[in-house]
Amino acid sequence: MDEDVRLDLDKLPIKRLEAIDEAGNEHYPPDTSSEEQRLAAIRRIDFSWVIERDAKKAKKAAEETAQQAWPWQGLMESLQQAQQELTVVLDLISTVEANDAVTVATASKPKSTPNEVLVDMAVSAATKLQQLRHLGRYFKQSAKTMEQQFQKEARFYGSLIRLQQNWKVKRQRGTGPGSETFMFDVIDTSQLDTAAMPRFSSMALIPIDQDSLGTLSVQVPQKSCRFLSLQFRGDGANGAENYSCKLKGVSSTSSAEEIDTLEDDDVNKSVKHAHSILRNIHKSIFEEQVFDMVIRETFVQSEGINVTGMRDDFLQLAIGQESLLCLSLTDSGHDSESEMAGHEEHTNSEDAANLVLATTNGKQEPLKRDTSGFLNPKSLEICLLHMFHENILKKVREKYRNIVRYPSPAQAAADDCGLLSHFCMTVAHRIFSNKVHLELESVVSRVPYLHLRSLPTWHSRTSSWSLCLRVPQPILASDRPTNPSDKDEPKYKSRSQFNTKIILKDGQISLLGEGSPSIAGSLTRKPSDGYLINSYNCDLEDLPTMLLQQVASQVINWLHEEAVVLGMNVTRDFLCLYFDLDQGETLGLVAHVDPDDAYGCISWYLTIDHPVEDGKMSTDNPEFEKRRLTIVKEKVFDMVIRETFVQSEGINVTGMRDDFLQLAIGQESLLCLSLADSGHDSDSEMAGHEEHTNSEDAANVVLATTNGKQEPLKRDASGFLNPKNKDEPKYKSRSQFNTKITLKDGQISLLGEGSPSIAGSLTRKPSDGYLINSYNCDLEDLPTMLLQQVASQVINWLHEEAVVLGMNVTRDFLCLYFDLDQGETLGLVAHVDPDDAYGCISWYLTIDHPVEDGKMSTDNPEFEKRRFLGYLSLEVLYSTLMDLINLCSTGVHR
Amino acid sequence: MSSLGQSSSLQRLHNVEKRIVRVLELAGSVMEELGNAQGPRADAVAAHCREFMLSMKEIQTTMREEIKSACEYRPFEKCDYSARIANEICCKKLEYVIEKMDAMQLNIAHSANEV
Repeated sequence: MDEDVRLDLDKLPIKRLEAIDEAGNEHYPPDTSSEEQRLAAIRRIDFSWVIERDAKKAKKAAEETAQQAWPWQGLMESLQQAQQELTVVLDLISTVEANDAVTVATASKPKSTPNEVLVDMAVSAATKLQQLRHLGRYFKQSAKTMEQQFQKEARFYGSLIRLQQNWKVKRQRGTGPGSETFMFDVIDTSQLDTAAMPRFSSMALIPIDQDSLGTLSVQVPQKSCRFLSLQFRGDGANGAENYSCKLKGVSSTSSAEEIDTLEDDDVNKSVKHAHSILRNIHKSIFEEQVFDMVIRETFVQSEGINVTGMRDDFLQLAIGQESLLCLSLTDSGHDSESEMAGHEEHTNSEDAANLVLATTNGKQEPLKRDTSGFLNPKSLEICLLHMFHENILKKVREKYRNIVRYPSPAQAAADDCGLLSHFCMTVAHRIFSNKVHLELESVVSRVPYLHLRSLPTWHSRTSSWSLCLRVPQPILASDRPTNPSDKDEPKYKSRSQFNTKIILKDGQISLLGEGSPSIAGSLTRKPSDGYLINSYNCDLEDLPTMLLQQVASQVINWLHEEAVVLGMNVTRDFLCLYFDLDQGETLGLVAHVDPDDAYGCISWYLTIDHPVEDGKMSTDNPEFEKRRLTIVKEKVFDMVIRETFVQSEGINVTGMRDDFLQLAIGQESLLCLSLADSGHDSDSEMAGHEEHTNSEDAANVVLATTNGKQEPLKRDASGFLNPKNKDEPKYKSRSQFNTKITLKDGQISLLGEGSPSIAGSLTRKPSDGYLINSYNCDLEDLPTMLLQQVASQVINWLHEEAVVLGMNVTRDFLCLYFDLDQGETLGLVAHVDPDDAYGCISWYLTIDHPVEDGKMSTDNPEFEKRRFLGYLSLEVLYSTLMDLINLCSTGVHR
Repeated sequence: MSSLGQSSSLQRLHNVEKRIVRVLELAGSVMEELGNAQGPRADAVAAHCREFMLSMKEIQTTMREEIKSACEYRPFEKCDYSARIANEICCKKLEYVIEKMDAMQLNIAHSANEV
């Protein structure tokens, strides 16, 4: 038959379990409704044979057209049919099995042999062992991974705890597994006014990463940190290169993946690195905050702020009329903002086109070259940050504690006019203060007795200096009466310094000078020490001149005081000191002040005013002095002149001009003291000739003598030292003879040892038994007396030596006589001649024959009786003596 | 972080972790021992198990203490960021002053050389 048997089997209408879930609940399929059952039944009707018949018809129609059929077609069809039958059968079997409606008659299990049982048991035991080993390996493996995990986490959390000591950590639970991330929160929300600061949220939370070894790292995009940079227009980029070194490059701490254990150093390094990154970010946030506050301050019009340019990260302020301050937020690394401002030439007008020119007070700001190149912008930057931070802190404190703190004067000033204007005024003040300082230095560098000192002020807009004029102590200071009761009297106190104080407040210079009451200005008496204080204001251009005038007047004041103390009749004008001389003349000491002088600022002139002439002051001496030498000379001259006006013994003024003083010393010499150029310096030049030909010089000068006493210069010429006194017998041979010459005020006295025959008083020094001659003499006789003394000492020595040797010798004043045999006398005579060119003491040998007229033949003109020995040294003399002694003892005649 | 005795709590927790690792190793070795072809050695197994139990006890005690003390731990309450900024400003001031002092020293050295 060509139609197969089709079997349709229904499922048995029992409830079949569909699923069991984990909790053990059984799920059954839902009951089908009757409609569904009907539909299912309809579906089960097999309309395939109908479709087949139609298909066959179509096929037949197709077959007629088809030519030769495939020879295996029939085989294929039968195989298909067989397959269909088989599938039907299989379906039937499976359905039956599933339905359990038909039990298949199973063949009985064959009985398993004990071998098989054992084999089964062995197999199961082996499986169990396998599983146990597997379990063991699993445990060990998990232990190892756990260890690694723990190490990694310990490293991470250890670093995190270290960082948490300083930084706030926030934890974020993300969605999905393993996304619990930590973050550093760098913003201090307690301080922020969040309504006003919306722009920092991007940088607030910084994610923390850990690498494969658990090392903590903080990643920050390179250019996101911006720092405040303050520069003066015209300076090069000198501020921001500091920042590039702050962010050190990420070191390769994570390159050790192959090594499991990292050293502690690496962990430390990573922690420090993270810490420094966080510090930078924190600082950057603060500086951005400050910049924002500065910008907001510029919207409020206040004094001193002068905005000339603004961008979103750049602010330019004009300070005064000369300098431009640029405040910008720059990246670390390279500094594109400051490059723009770093031209040294004056080609800045083109740059102005890029800037939005916004002036608040309408002034034009020419971009001049900045003259305050030496004002360090870094210090200003620090000042700005400090100011704003203080302000923030103050606000926080007030907010949280409701305490009103009493601000320091600096803070009060800041509060009065706003922070930015205070800052701008501070910058302006500093620039001007530098200029004032330069001026002061240029003055002080040329006046060596002035000392400049900067005084600290605790206000940023006030500067103060003190100029100290040191005066030397007067010579007669020790002689001044210092009664203890007179301590209240300032007149007797000698002052050592005069002070001038210069105070600069916001551009206003005021001078406070001591002790010169003649300068225009207000006088204030300081009651404590009785000095007068001048105080007045001045401009920068006038400052050197005013200072120098102040100083010069202080010098005049000092000289005036000194002169008054000495009892002189002096009067004082603004910069002059007048001495009244005799005959109505007036000597004036004038100070000339010139701040532009290269050598020195204060020079001195001496003027003399003769009333016999038309009464005018003589013109200034056209000679220019070197200032330092002049001051020295001035002091000396001044003192000398003062002394001459006091009549005292010994001063003998023979001439005086305006720069010249002549004193007679004794009767022979004239001392000339003059203020002259350094070329020919005739100070203390002794016009001292030994002759008396000075009377002609006196014709040029006005002779004025006060007394006639002579004042020869003192000179102490006693230089001989006596040997130590020892108690010695006379036999001790002496090694030296001393002669002492003493000069007292013109009286010469000689003290000579050991020559008892010279006229004069003899004093025996009991200690050593030597005889001392002492006598006075004049200067003309001095050489002769000395030589005679010396010669007699030599004779004395020779005499003693001969006596020691047992000779029979006698001694006269300058002669030594040996007694020869036969009554002859051999004499050794010393001849003294102070004018002799070869030597002063010469020796003669004389012989005296008693058979002749018995006279002494000392001045025998015959040379054969008197033999000239020459100018003998002492050794030769001694040997001569010995020869003579031998001669005498042997009795050899001439 | 509070530190009792010598070690900090982080270190104690780390010790606990090490113990857990050890415990796992013990379990693994016990399993291997049981899976031994010749049969398990009773003494080894007993030793391992004893150590295991002791470690577990210790882990439990430490964890209990740590959990108790963890409740006392207060995270970063007082924010000192403003003081930190003040310190940074002070650092800047100090750097500036040091720079100036170095310049002064150089000047003195130069002038001493010249003199």
